[in-house]
Amino acid sequence: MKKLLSLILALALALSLSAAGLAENAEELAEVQELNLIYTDLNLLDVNDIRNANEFQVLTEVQEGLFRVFTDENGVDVTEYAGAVSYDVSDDLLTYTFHLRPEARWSDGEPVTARNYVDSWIRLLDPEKGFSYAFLAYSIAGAEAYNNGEGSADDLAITYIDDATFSVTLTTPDAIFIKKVGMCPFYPIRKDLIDAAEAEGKNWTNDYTLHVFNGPFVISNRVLENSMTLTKNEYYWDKEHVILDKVNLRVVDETSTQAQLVEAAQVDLIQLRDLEYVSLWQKYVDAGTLVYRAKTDPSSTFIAFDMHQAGNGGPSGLMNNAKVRKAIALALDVDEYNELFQEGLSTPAYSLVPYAVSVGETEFRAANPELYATDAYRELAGDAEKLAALFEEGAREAGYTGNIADVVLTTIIYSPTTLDTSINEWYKQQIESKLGVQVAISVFPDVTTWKEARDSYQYDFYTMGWFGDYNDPETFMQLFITGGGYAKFFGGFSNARYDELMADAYATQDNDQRLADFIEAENILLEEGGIAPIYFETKQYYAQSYVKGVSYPMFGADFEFSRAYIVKH
Amino acid sequence: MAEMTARRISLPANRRILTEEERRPVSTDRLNGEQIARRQTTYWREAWHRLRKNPIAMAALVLLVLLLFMILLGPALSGQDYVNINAKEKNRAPDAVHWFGTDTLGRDLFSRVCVGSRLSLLVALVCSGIQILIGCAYGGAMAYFGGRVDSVMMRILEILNSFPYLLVTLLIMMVLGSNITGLLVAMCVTSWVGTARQMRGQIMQLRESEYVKAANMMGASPVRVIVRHLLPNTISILILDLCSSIPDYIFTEASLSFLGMGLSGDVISLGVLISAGKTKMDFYPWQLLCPVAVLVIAVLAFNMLGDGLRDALDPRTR
Amino acid sequence: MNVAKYLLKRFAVMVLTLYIIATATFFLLALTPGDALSQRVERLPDKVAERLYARYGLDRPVMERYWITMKGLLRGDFGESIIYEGETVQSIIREKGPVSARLGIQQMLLGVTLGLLLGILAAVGKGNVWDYLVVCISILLISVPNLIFALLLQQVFAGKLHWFPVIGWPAEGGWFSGWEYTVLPTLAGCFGYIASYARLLKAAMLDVMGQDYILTAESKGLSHKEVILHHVLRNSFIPIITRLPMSVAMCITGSFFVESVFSIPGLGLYYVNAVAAKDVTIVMGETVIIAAIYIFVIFLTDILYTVVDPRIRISGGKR
Repeated sequence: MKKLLSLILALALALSLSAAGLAENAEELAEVQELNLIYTDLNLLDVNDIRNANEFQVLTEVQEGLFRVFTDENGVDVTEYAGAVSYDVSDDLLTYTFHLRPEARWSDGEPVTARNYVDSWIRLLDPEKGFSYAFLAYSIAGAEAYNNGEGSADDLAITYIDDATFSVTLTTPDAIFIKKVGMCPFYPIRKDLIDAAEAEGKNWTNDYTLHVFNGPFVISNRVLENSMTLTKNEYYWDKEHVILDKVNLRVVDETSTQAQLVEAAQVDLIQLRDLEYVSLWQKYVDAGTLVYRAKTDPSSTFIAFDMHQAGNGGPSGLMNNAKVRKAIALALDVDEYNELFQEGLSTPAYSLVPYAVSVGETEFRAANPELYATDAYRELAGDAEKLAALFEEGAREAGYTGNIADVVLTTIIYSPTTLDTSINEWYKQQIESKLGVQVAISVFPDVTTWKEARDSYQYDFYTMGWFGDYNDPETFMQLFITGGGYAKFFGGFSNARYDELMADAYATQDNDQRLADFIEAENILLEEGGIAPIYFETKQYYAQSYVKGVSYPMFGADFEFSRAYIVKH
Repeated sequence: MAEMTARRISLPANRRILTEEERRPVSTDRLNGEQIARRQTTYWREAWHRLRKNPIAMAALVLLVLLLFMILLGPALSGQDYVNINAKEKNRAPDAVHWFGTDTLGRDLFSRVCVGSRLSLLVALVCSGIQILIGCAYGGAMAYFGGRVDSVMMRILEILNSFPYLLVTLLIMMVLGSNITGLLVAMCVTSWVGTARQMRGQIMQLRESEYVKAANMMGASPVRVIVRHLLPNTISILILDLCSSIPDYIFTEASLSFLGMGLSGDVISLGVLISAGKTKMDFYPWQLLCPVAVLVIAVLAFNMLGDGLRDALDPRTR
Repeated sequence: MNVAKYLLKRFAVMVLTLYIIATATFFLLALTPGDALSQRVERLPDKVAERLYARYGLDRPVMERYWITMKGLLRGDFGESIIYEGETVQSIIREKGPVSARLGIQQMLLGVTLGLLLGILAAVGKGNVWDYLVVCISILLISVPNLIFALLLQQVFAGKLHWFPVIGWPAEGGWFSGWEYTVLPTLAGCFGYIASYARLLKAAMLDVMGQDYILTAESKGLSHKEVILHHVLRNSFIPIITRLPMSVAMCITGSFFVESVFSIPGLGLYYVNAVAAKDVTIVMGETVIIAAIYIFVIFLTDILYTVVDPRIRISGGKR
C-alpha cells in the first residue's frame, strides 16, 4: 500500500506541477487572487470536535493532517502526502509508523511535530470531551475502552518516537485505517495553546485569534454567522503551490440570493441547493462564463423498515415479513421520485451502495449490478397487481387475517420542510395506489419526540440516508450488522449470513475476498427487503470560468481550493 | 330616547358634539330642516352613510366580497385536482386550465391558493374572536371592579406587554407543535392586551358619562346598563380592532411559515404556499406571486376598510 | 404627588416584570421538546452523550437548572452558548448589536421623516387627492410583507440594475462607511414606519385643527400656512414624541427578514436562529436584555408623556 500511495503521490506531484506551470505560462493570472464562496458558519474551530460538512470545508483548508486529497482532471481522488512524508505498516498489519514532514510549520513558526499528532489522537478519544468522530479511532488498541470511560489514556497504543515519527498499534487489522487517519479529526493540535487558553478562561473553541494554523490558509477575520476571511499562510510548507491570497466566505441564506451572487460573479464556486438552476444556468455554461460539474456523491438515501424483534413488525405488525417489505420497496417508482424531487439529476437507486465507491481498485457497482434493477425485479415492480399480491401473501404469512384495505402503514417525520412533506405525500400516494393499503404520515415537531417514537417502534418505515465516511462499501454495509451501533437508526436488520460475511470482510486484507463478501451481503440485504432504495445523490457544482485548479474530493469537504487560482477575465 | 341617541354620536370620541360645526361659519344648511332631521338618525346609520361616501372603503368592501366569493367557490369553479401529485403536470405556467399554474408537484395552484386562503382567513378570524373575547372580559373586569383589582390586573397587562412577541410566538409553536392549535395559541397569547386596555378605558369613560349615571339613577339594572348602553358604545372600537387585527394575523401566520416554524404537514395555508413559492421564485415566479397577490389584496382590503371605518365611526377625524 | 416615591414604585415593578419574564422564558424553553444537543448526540455512544449533557448542566432537574440560571442572571452571567462553544450573550450583543442598531436607526430616520411629511400632506389636504394618495400609499406599504419588499428590491436594484451590492454589510468603520451596502436594507425596512407615522401625525393634526385656539388663530387673520406651522404642527407632536422611544426599542433588536435576505450580521437573525437551534443560554440572555430595554422604554414613554403633555399628571400612570 505504501508503494501505491507514493506512486500516486509522484503522479499527483507531476500533475500539480504541470497545472501550476500552466497557470504561469499559458494563462495569465489575474491581479487579484481572491476566491469568493458561500458557507454556513462553523460551530467550532476544533479539528477533533468536527461535526459538519462546513467545518470540514474550512478546517481542511486552514489545517493539515497526514494526507491531502485532490482530484485529477478526470475527477478521480488523488491522495497526496502532506503532514506525513511516508508511513510503514508492520507485517502483522497491526502497527503503523508515520514519518512526518520536517519542514511543516505552524503559523507562529513552530514546527509541526509528532507530539502534536499524538496529543490530538489522545484528545480525540478523551471520554470527557465526547467528540463525534472518536469512533473512527476505535481500531487503535485501547481506544474504545478509553473513550467509553473504562480504560485509561496510558493504555492507548499511540507512541511518540521522536519529533518526526510516531506509531500506533491496532487491535485487529483494519484495511481502511489509513483512509480514516487522513481525516480532519486526526489533524495535529497545539495542546500548549489549548491549555494556555483554557487556563485563562478564554474561548479557544471559537475564537480564531487563539488558534495557529498549519494548512495553506489562516483565518484572518470572522463575523459570527455572517462571514469569514482566509488569507495565505506564509508558514505553509508548500506555499509555492498556493496562489490565492485571500478567500472570502459569506453566509447567504436565501437560495435565490445565492444564485444572484453567482450570476453577478460575486461568488466563484457553488454547490447547488436548488437543482432547477441547472437548466436556468445552461445559457451561462454555453456562453462559457460558468463551468458545470456533476459529481457522484458517496451517499445513499433509502427507506428503513421497522424490523426490530422488539418492535413486533411496527404498528401494522407486518414489517418483519420480507415479502411485505419488498412489495413496498418495489411499489415506489424511484424514477418518478428522481424526476419530481431531484429534477432528474440524481441517480435512482436500486441497491444500497452508491456508485464510485470501490474496493481496492474495483468499483463496487461495476462488480455487482444493482439487484432491484434486474429484469425480474423490474417486471415485478411494473405490475401493481403482482405487487399487491406479494404484499397480501406476506401479510397473510405475518398472520394478518383482516382486509388488506384496512392495513395502515405509519411513517414518521420531524419538523418537515415543504419538500419533506411533499416527499411523504408521494410515498403515501405511491403505496396506497399500488398496494391498496393506507399510509399515515405522523409528524413530530422535534427530533427528540421523533426519536422517542422511533425507539419505541411506533413506525413502519421512514426515510433515512447515509453519507459514506470513507471510500469503501464497508461504510454503508456496516449499518446492517445485527446488533450493531447503527441498528436503531436503520431498522434493526438481522441476518446470520450477512453478519458472517461482514465479519469475514473485516478480518481479511484481501480485496478480492472483501469484494466477494460485500457483493453477497448486499444481495442478501435486498432480497430480504432490508431497505427500499430511493436514490444516490449527484451533487451539482458551478464555478466561474476564471477559477482554475479547484479539486472536488469525494469525501470530506466539497471543494479543495488550496491550489486554485484566478485567471484574467 | 331621541335625545339619548343623539348624544351617542359624540361618545366614541369623548368630545363635544359641535366642534366641527363650530369651526365653520354659520351656513344655511344649519338651518335646513332636512339636515337637522338627519342628525336625529342613529349613530350607526350616520356611520354607514359616511362609509358609503368613502370611495376607498367601498372599493375595499367590494374587493373583500369578491375575494370571499373566490376562495369559497374557486376550487369548485376551476374543478382541478389540488391534492394528488402529478409528475407530468408539474410547474405549469398559468393558462386557461390552471389559472394560477401548477406547483412543483403538478397540483392546481389556483385551488390551492383558495383553500389556503380559507384556512388563513379562518385562523385570522378565530384569533381575532379570541382576542376580542378575552380583551373584553379582561378589560370589562378591570373597569367594573376598579381599585386594587384594576391595578393588579393592569400590572399583569404590562408584564405581558413587555414580552418580546416574536419569541413568545416561536416558543409556543415549539411547545405545542406546528399545528393549528399551536398556531392559534401562539398568536393569541398576548394579542388581547391592547383590546383589554382599550375596553377598560372606554368603559371607564362611559361609566362616568352623564347618561349612564342618569340610567343608574333611574334604577336601570346593571345588566340593562351594560347591554343597552355600554356594549353598543364599545362596538365601534371592537369593529376597528377586528379590522386591524385580521390582517395582522394573516401576516403573522405567513411570517411564521417563512421562518420555518409555521404550519406543517399537508396543511395548506397562504404562508405555507408563499414559503414554498419563494424557493422557486427564479424559475416559476407565479408560484410565489399568486399567493402573495392574494395575501396582499386581502390585507389591503382589510386595512382600507379599517381606515374607512375609523373615519366613519370616529367623526372627528373627517 | 411625590415624584421620588412614584419612580421607586415604577422601578420595583420593572424589576418584578423582568423577573417574571425571565422565569416564564426559562420554563417555556424547558417545556419545548428536545434540546440543542439532541441532534449532536445522535451518533454518540450513550455514555459520551451523558457526559456532554452533564457538561452543560442539562442533565439536572429543571428546578435546579432554574436556580442556577437565576443566580447567573443576578450576576449578569447568562452562560455559554451551546451551539457556538465559548460565545456568551455579551460577546454576541457586543458584536451584533451595533449592526442592528445602525440598520434600525437608519430605517427609522428615513421612515419617520417620510411618514411625517406624508402625514402633514394628508392632514393639510384633508379630503382631497393628496389625502387619498397618502392613505393609499401607506396602506399599500403595510400590506406587502417585508420579506417580499426586501427580495424585490434586491432583485431589481442589485440583481438587474447592479446599482448596489446584492448582499453584505460594511465592516467596522465610521457611521457612514460602506453606505452603498445599507441603502437597500434601509429602504426595505422603513415602510412600516412611513405608514404608522403618517397616520399618527394626520390624526393628531386633525385633532389639533379642531381645537378652539386654532379657530381663534385663524379668525385673528393668520394665514393658513402660519397656523399650520406655528400652532398645529407644534401641538401635534405629542403623540409622535411619545411613540418614538418604542420605535427605537423595536429597531435596535433587529429585523429578521431584512437581515436574512441581505446577509446582515445583526441580532434579529441571530436570535431567531438561536431559538430554532434551542441554544437555551443565548435565548434566555437575549430575551432578558431585550425585555429590559423594552420595559425601560415603556417607563421612559410614561415620563415623556408627563413632560410633553402637562395635562397628564404623574399619578395618572398609564394613558
